[in-house]
Amino acid sequence: MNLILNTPLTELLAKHKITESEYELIINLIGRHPNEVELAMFGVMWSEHCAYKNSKPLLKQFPASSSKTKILAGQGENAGIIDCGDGLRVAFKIESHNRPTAIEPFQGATTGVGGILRDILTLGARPIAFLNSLHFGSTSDEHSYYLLTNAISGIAHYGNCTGIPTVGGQLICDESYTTNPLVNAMCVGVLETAEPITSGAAGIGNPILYVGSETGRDGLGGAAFASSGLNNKSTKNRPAVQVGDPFRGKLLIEACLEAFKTGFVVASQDMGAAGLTCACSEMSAKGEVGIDLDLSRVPTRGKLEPFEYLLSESQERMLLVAEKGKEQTLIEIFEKWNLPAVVVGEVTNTGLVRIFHEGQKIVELPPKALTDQAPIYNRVAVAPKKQINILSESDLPADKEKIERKLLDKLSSPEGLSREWIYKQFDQQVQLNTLISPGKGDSAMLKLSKNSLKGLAVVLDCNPFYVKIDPFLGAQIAVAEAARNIASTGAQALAVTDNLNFGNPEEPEAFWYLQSAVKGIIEACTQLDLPVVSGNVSLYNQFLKPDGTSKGEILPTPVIGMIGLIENYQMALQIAFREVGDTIWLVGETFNETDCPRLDWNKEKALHSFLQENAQNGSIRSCHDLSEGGLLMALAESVLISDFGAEINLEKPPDLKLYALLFGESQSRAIVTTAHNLELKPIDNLKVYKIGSVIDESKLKVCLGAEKEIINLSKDLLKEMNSSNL
Amino acid sequence: MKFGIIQFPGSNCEKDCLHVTQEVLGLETHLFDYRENPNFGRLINYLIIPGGFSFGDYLRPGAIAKAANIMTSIKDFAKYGGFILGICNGFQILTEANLLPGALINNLQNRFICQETNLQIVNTNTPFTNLYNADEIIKMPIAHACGNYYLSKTELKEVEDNEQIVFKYTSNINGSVANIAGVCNKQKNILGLMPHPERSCEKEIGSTDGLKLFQSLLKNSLLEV
Repeated sequence: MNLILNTPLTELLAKHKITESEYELIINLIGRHPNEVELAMFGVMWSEHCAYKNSKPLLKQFPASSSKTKILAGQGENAGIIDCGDGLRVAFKIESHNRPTAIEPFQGATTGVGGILRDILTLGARPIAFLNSLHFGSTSDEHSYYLLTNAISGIAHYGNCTGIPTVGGQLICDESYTTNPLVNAMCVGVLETAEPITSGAAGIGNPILYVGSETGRDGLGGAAFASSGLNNKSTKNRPAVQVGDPFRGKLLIEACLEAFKTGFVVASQDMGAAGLTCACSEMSAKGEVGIDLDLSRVPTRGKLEPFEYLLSESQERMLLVAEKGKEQTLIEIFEKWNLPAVVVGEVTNTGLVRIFHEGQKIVELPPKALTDQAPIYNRVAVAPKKQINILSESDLPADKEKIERKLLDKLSSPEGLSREWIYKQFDQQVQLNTLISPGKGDSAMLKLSKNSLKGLAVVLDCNPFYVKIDPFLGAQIAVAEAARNIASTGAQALAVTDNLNFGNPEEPEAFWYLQSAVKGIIEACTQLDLPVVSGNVSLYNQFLKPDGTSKGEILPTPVIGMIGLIENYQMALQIAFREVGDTIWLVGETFNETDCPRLDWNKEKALHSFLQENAQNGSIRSCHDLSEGGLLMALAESVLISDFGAEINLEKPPDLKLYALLFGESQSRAIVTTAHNLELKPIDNLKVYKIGSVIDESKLKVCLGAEKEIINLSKDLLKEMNSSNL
Repeated sequence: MKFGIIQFPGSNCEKDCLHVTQEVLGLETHLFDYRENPNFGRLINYLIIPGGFSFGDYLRPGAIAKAANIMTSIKDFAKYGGFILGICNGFQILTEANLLPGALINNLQNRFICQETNLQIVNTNTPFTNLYNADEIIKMPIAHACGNYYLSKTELKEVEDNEQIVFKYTSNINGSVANIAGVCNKQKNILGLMPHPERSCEKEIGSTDGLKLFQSLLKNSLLEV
């Protein structure tokens, strides 16, 4: 069991990405030198991806509870679970698959979706929706285009084939993501079992079942790979990218749910990052019991070395603890679904993870040494000396041609272009729950059950440009905007999942961005009384030069996933205007902002309750929040999705810049419509302005003051400029 | 009146179809496993082969499903005059099994397309469309990567002459010959279509234009089971 000494220690440590001081810690924890298989297990389990060793001190500050949300499972579980009433329990979580996507975009994105699916499934929940947040280099760059289009195909492949609708997402293009694109996928599920299935093993003598696909050499050491920076030799890591099989994924969903419903499954854990190693050590650590595992019984594709069994990240696999004597019932269920299911071990009272191979004990470790006792680093944060304002815009003259040009430019810019070409590749309706599909509302909305009127609003959002300018503010805006997207459908935000995509935490400036953004999320969640119930961290994301050296960090990207609830989805709001003659209102105040906007929480919260209340009482008939591109962009988008047009008359206060009025991104605003004879009343902290009406002509017409026309554009032209040729 | 729905491994619209027949239409519905060999004529009035990715769409969509045990029962039911509705992957399986003419190949765009489409009802004189008005335009969503319907010129003339074309897209959405979205067999008891009628039966999630397809069927029954 001693370290194999024919390889120098320093070389071994480098291979498994363990530092010398970490090696000392391992010896302290287990009271001896680890053997190489054990060292390899520490290498993956102590990676940032599995252990959050650089981010844990920050993450534990996230609010874990809220007065308005009933949390059934929160941080530290496979995913968060929220009680939505009437027995409807929603599980959701976000996860990144950035590194694999950078070198093998189709499989990288596919397995990202498959991985988050199993995090939800393992709790006993049926996945009902996917969302994705994509951050790539410019689509005019050939390689970025290849990465993006293949990642989209990969996402589509897994979701479409497993019969789970993909209902929302975002695409942000920026040069900094060129060599290191981000693919963050969120999955939402509804619990089908009486209680959530736990991951903690229990019941001494209970058999451990390996179910799902056979173990192969794919994805070897993926977790460690995901926790290091890319370089120009990274394509050599292609074998570290897992290969997804959504057909097997679909069978696994049905088989697992059927198995869970028997009540004979004591615990369940998917094999994702660090595969069998992670699953057995976490199940053992969480259940505070020992686990014996015999690798010789694991179904494989080809002959594997012991460390390959333990580090493989082959997809579509789960580890279950069965009630003793009931394993055959479970095995038969999996066999019915054409999936291997084999007893590979048992729960013991040793308190140790012991792994056997061909009769020999090759691993004997206390599970907490691999999990809870992983090292934690309090990294140094230093604010950058120079802050760059990347968004500053100059004012506009009140010139019709120039303003129309500006609007059309924004509509046809990479940020403004319609995302239809992306979401058209996703099945959005399968399962018959999609109440608001992509593009039709500020957030998507799903039925939670065929027998309930409750609507679940789901959204993913992050504007990394704001975060780059001011991470504390930018992260707050990301949360505020996600909650605003939910409020814009009339729903109330309930809980958050976050994916922190940042640079190298060992660089003080990069760490400062991470730390400040986390503080921003905490501030926002506290303001909105929202818990963070699950999340994921992806560090070491860097923009590389062709020679493989770092050119800097990616834009700091804290992606916020959020769910919200409306009691009666028949009252939910969409973007499209409803009737000719309806009044169009601007809700919220416009400030002289031509760059990164400020955020006033009192105004933001007032807007949310205003929208929720007026959706509920039926006063508001449509709603679209204002975000990138401000008022004119929101109006143009509303016209584009409606059967009608809009005629707008704006009053410009003398001290307000015209650019700020038309395109400024002041927060806490929305445009809403009401019946023509209905008056909306301002409330505390919220002003309302009647700005126009819905017309029977397919165009957007905007006047400044009484009659100065500044926009008169047909819907056809708006559409032509907004359509992507990708 | 009873519906049957086939479940292949990888089917993913069987529960949606079940919801429509059972909850929306209120009819007794049975799911049949692909390994079974039932005598459908004694058990059900109508059979649905649902959408999805049977056997992962490996080889070609429908290519493995056509060799499944239950296909013998399906063919017997077809011969007997039983009504069979193949939706999306179900349509692909029916063409692979030669129960419907033509073949479904990759969309012209070589991408999966999910969107609402406008469909023209070309033939109202079928058991599946008798409640629609002639040339009525209806809305139904599509969601497929392999829905580009191909027929040779001779075959096209044949299906036209036999009035087998049931639905056409109002624009060429995926490359299909003559914009064909759905066809039936000569006897008109088997219909295959790429759009999803089960997704257009409830107002809150889309149009309700698909309902009439199911309701049309209910007016035709070989016998009481």
